[in-house]
Amino acid sequence: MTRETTQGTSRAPAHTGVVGRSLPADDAAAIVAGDLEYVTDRRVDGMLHGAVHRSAHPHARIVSVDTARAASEPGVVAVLTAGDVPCNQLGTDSENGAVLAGDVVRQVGEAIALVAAADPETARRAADLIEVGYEPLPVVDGPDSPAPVTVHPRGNVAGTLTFESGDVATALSSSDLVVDVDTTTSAQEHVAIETPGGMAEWDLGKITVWCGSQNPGLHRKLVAHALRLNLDDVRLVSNPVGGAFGSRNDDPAPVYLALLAWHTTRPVHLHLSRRETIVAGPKRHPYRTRVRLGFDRAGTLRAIDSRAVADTGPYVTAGRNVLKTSAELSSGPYAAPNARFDGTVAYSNNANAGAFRGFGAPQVAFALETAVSEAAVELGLDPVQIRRANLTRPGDAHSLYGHTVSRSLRASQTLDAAAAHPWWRDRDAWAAGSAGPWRRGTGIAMAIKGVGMGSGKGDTARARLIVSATGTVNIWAGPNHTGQAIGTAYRQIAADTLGIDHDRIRVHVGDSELVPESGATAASRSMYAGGSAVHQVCGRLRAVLDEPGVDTGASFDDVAAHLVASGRAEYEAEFVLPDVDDIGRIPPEALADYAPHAVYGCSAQVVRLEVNTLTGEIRLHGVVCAVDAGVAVNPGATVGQAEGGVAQGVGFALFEEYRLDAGVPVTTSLENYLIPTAMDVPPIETVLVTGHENTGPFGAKGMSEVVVVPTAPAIAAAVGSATGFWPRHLPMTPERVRAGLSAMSGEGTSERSGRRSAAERARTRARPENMSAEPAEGAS
Amino acid sequence: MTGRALARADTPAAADALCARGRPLAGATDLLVHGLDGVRGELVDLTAIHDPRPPVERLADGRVRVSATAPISAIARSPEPVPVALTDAIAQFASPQIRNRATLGGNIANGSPAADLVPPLVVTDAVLGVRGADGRRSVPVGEMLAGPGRTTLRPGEWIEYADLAPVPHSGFRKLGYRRALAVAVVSLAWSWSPGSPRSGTEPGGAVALHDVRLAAGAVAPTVVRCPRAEAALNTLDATCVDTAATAVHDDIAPIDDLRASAWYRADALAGLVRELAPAATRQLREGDTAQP
Ligand SMILES: Cc1cc2nc3c(=O)[nH]c(=O)nc-3n(C[C@H](O)[C@H](O)[C@H](O)COP(=O)(O)OP(=O)(O)OC[C@H]3O[C@@H](n4cnc5c(N)ncnc54)[C@H](O)[C@@H]3O)c2cc1C
Repeated sequence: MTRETTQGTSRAPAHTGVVGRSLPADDAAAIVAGDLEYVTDRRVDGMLHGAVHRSAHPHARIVSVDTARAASEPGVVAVLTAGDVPCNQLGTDSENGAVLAGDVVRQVGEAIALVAAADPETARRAADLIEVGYEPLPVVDGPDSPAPVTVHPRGNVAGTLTFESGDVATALSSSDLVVDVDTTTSAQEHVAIETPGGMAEWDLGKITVWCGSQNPGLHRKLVAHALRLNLDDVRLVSNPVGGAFGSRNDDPAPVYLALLAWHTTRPVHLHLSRRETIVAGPKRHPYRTRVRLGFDRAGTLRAIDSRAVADTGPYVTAGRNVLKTSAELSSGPYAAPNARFDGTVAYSNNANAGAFRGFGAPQVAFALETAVSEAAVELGLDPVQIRRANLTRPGDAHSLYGHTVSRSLRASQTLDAAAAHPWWRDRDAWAAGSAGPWRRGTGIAMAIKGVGMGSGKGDTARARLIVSATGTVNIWAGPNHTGQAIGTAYRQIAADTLGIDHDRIRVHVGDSELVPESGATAASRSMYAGGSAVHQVCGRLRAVLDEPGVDTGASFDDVAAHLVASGRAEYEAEFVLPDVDDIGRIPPEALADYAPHAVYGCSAQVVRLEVNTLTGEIRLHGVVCAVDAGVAVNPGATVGQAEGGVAQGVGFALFEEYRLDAGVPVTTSLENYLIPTAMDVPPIETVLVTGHENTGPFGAKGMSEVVVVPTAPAIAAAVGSATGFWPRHLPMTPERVRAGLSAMSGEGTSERSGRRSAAERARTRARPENMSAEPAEGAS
Repeated sequence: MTGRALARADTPAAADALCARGRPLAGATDLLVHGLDGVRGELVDLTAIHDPRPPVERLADGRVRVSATAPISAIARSPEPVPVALTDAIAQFASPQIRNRATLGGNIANGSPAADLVPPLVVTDAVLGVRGADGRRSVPVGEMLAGPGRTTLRPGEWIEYADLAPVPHSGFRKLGYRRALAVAVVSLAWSWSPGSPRSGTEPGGAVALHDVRLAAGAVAPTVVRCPRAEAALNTLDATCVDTAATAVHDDIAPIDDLRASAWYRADALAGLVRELAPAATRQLREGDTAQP
């Protein structure tokens, strides 16, 4: 791994660098021992317990809400409904949803009332005693719903994004080969181990909320807005939190907590159940994506044509930004002279979809990578070769937008690193070992994912540093820690920037009172953005230390005492993520609407597996995960992110599908919403590709999302290589695989059952000629 | 669960008396999951019965008696062997933690058509030792199963053990949607004997089978035998297996549910029947080397 040393002289020869070393996470011992107090573990004397009454209908007018019985239960302190919320809106417009539904509910599980009571059982019982009268409305069960209603008065289109470079239609018609792949991907559940909740206290006109958050700044705003408070009177303590993966981006739990504490003026504890979390919480946007690729005979990509329809559920939170990411990544890591994206985010009465690791990338990458793999088969080319030949090179223009891509992109090295692994090289021998119904296959796929919020957004992270007289360096920085131990990496960066021992450094994250606003733990930005802010604030102190006479060679204790005494112990810095150098075809005034990235992380993955052709079962035998993360500040943590990402990718590929029937959830527990177990995740070999991002701290960039993306298409490609059946619908359940295999071999699939198989249903849904998701006409 | 009485039965006789007015409880891996709302009376803890006998015993007539109240992991670990179908099923059951609690009695009494331990009992002609304050009776396992969530246990009765007939070759295969902690979408237990006294191999190389029994899970209201498929499986040649895989459709009555369609259940079961050919051939080969 290359490493850039910081400028200036090295002040402490005794200090050996810690960047590039796998320090254990700061909280590791406490987490493993069960000693860490998570936000939902917080308890104080005299606290009340909250519960939520939720909608039983996917779409209905609320005609009455009767809270009398609930309110008269002994121990109940407050029952709150829509009228009790000072400003009953969760965001800037009504399509972001209400805090508590008053007139209309648009999904099962939508919050209608909150209860505070002396104990959790009473709160739950009282919440169940609330009687809501509904007048059901027709249900919009997806973008193709024929229901003669709209979810919102403005219609069912929450957003669209179209962009074209070159002339895709002409390029496709003159291509030697056009592969046309029409895919669907499912609504995936985050399954963070800790379900949402925490505590809130109202004290002297200020509200403090302890609740997991990936975006404390946004949550403060949501709370202040709903309670009509001054932003300065809202404090959010957002960790330790037991996982996030996107689900804590705009989770309403902090607002519920604040509302309950504000009304009762007592501390209130609330902890949602798994079932509530599954039914009411956000999902990965389910997509239908159709990709057409045009190639010439030699395998050169001429055109990429991508159309995507995302189901955002009843309220648009992250939906439009998710579509934006899909657009940018619809061409993946590939260079094509002609590219088009045409995308729609649609409202429905299905689960609300929001942010999820990968953020619009996995859905379009599944279609794109499947198309590339199939093109390789059609053209008789090696899957690695066809990819390598068409990669965007560092410093090249992006296929769709034409903006310049950072020189740190190591797409070709990442692909080569994956392909150099014996699991890829020995794929023929692996296939030759197939026995009986178990056919062996190997697949490869790759992806890139932008780091940060994108150009034109003013994406910024900040850090504050105070040297104590006792020789400790305290740093307050963001983005927040949501399970990835980012604080440990910040310490490593600080230690090497300052040239002092990392034990002297304390990093504090996640408290809005103390940490300067640094944006979300999202978009693979924490290391790059927060790490850079830490690097800069330490750089300020370092510049002072380097002044003659400050660092006298004495111990750092003495130096620190001198800094404090001379009033030079406090520093602040901010890092504004650089925009792309050249915005290409994007009109300057619309830069933020497309928000292209300069910096991308990259991953290429190889999957070896077996498919049982008689039953459709898939057994994974290994995943190689090559990652281009620039410099890995903490390789152990980077590998941890990669392995977790692959496991989540395995879930997306094979198991996970949140299902509803006419808007009514059917997979409401972890008994029927399956995620991979330790038995289902195969050995994972992570290869860290050597690279260096010049604008990142010590050469680092983000990688935590991109590792989720190639897994599903690599598994699909391996199934294709094993059986000749190329899955188009996720998850690849045994039933879908078997239906695909039997359709391929011309066996009848439905003569014995009145019902069509899942794959057949999915096939019928896929109507390529009717991709537009126009708003349903009619009543609203 | 507040105020729920749990009575510990320390002898089988005490259990008889307690079960007359309470509900048996063993590993509680079903009962607590389903909830105690509809459960009347006190809970009778059968796991407290002090039983000096091992969980598996060989009877004088060659059958094995398997405890219905011991954790199934103890059955799998037992020095006295049980038919392979049962150890296979235990190995594919839930997770180690659940296997350390779950019991055979609970699996049967729960009445699930997807219960993993029931198909092995069916193919080994298991006879259940059932008892209560009114006395004891022996019930063939097939007569115990009445429908989804239903058995023919009478009020106050509990299952003490199951007696399994010896079978030369048996096995179990579960198709779940993941490798652990998953309810069976389809399962199949089988047992058979070699058709010819020497090696079971007919002159043409095809393997002759005798006394084939197949029991399938999650494809009918209860675990069912598959007589049509069994009848077709006289030898292990391709034609025979094809015929059996087709015939098995008429032995079952699968439904569409959350996990799978009826089409897939039938199709996958036919797949498991086809898989029997290599499995049986392998067992035969291994069996041959084991017997001089
Ligand atoms: C996480 C998890 C995974 C599971 N995975 C599987 C699986 O892979 N395969 C599978 O088949 N099952 C599975 N189960 C279901 C369950 O574990 C089994 O059915 C188990 O065998 C039940 O045994 P138990 O002793 O825990 O029964 P209990 O829960 O104690 O009792 C179940 C029912 O049987 C009655 N009962 C118990 N013992 C007796 C007795 N001796 N005589 C008469 N009635 C009795 C009880 O009154 C009750 O009605 C799983 C359950 C869980 C929670």
